[in-house]
Amino acid sequence: MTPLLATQALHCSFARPHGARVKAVDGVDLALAPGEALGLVGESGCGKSTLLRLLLRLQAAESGTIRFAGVDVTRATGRALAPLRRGVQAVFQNPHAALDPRASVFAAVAEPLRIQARLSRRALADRVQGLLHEVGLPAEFLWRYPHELSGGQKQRVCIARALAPGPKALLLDEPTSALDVSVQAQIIDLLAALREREGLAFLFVSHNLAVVRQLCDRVAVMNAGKVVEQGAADAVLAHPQHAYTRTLLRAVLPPRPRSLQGSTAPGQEAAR
Amino acid sequence: MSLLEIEAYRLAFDGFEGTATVLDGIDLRVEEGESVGIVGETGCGKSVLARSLLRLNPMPPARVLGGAIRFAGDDVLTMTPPALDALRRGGIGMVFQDPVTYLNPVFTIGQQMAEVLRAHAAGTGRRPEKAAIRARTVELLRQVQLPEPETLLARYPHTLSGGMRQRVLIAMALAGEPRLLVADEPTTALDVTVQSQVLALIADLIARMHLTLLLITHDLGVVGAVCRRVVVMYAGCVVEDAPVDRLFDAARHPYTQGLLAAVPDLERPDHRPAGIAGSIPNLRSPPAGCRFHPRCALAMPVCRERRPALVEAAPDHRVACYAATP
Repeated sequence: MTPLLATQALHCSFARPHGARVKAVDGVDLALAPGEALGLVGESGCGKSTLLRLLLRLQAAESGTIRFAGVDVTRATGRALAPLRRGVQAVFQNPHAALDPRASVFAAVAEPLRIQARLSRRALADRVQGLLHEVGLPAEFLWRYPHELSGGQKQRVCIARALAPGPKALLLDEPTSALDVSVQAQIIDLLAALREREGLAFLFVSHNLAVVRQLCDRVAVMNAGKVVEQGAADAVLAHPQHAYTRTLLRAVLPPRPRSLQGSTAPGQEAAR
Repeated sequence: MSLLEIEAYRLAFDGFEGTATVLDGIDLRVEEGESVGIVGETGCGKSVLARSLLRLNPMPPARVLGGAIRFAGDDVLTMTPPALDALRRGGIGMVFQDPVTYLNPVFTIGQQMAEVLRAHAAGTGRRPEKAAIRARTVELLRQVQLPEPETLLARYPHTLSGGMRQRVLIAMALAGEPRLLVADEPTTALDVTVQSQVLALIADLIARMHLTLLLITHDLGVVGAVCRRVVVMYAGCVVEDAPVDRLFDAARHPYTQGLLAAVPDLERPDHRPAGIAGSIPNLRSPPAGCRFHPRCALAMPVCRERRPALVEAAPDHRVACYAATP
């Protein structure tokens, strides 16, 4: 089966002072199958966000290819880029910064529809209301502004906006890390339900390995611009092969102190 | 006498849209040598409470409505400016969340550490020599396990990683040899691997220097790693106060139970985290009675009318909930 989104030997580097260059994405091969949820984990500066920006064509690749549904879109412009723009949408980390403070919820969600689809005024209003319903917001939110919403509600609006063009894949960049845990659980539930209902594929960037395990089928671990390990989520997170993955897992603080569970798993010594 | 005693403390913020009672009757004691975590979600008042200990909330807009805060027996709320200076200098050391914003980008680490040390010395009427300040700075940086402290003195904050900057801030907080270290989300801005190192450092310091720790966080995992006792806050109130093990094993308050159920666990992938329905109340017009009752599955008529007091549900374990206490 053709992957929905695939990269091959993708490279991107940035200039540093004194002529040095930092290789943010250094030869990444990654494939996202239709309907699959792929987790991308790694620490700050490992290149996850740059990779996401490359896939969204917000950042130009130096070499390598990006394919969307089998078509090379690495350097596509204009009309040739439209399928990618419609088919791949993003939800970012900080919902407080991702919404225009002067745009109502309706305006925010309607904008991609105005650009991507020609709808009558009536159809547009219906569709926006439908999208809000899908992300669990009642219709009374239509005319509210971002400052009247909680963090979780804002992230729901961002998800509705991403769903508006009818994408095949969502690229989610730490979508819950700015939210409280009780809200995080609601957003994860929403994402899981949406994926099931719409058959969406997810590329889920996170440093929270527990959330990744909850939501993803497969995991890719990035370190210093390279994918160092990838495989089924259960396999990678339960039996990590690469040393870096093990370091990452050891640093995870268990939600309850480990001694209570009688486990002797490593991680304790690092934290105590 | 406890090292820190907070009694029925109430604090409000006045704004254009009304007055928000951000802390509504906080009761909390911290004994010398204890490590206590304060846990709660956005807007529960945990950071405002931490800043109250040093009277760092700007007044106005903040206004104390009542209650008392005593540190080592001294009333913090009525302290004279010199006494308050002494408290900030040597009584309570504070570490804040974001190590980037608490260091001045145009001064070196050495200059900023020296400023702190000179201020401490000035308070006690001494004028230390340059060499003495330098020696003490190096000693403090070594204490927080920073490599090559001598070369670090000449470096600027932007050349340091987030973890290193947080260590510098911890060193500054320790400069006045405080009895109580207050850390407000000290690892939230850090990567997980760095977080576990910084927490290990904090745990090590309190053990070695016999410090008392008050750690403020939204992350139950962080509390489990370094604290002996946990205080859970919701919407400006303390709802539960228990030893760490007990809280994780036998939480009584429905809000605490909800928080625990919301955390995904890497080791139990089949456990489905559940969110807490509803959202935090507007503190300008909080619900009557228990502030959690609109989101509570166990709410009874009395919960809507009267505020439950924080009462002992088991030895050492206090809960503010009618449903959880007989």
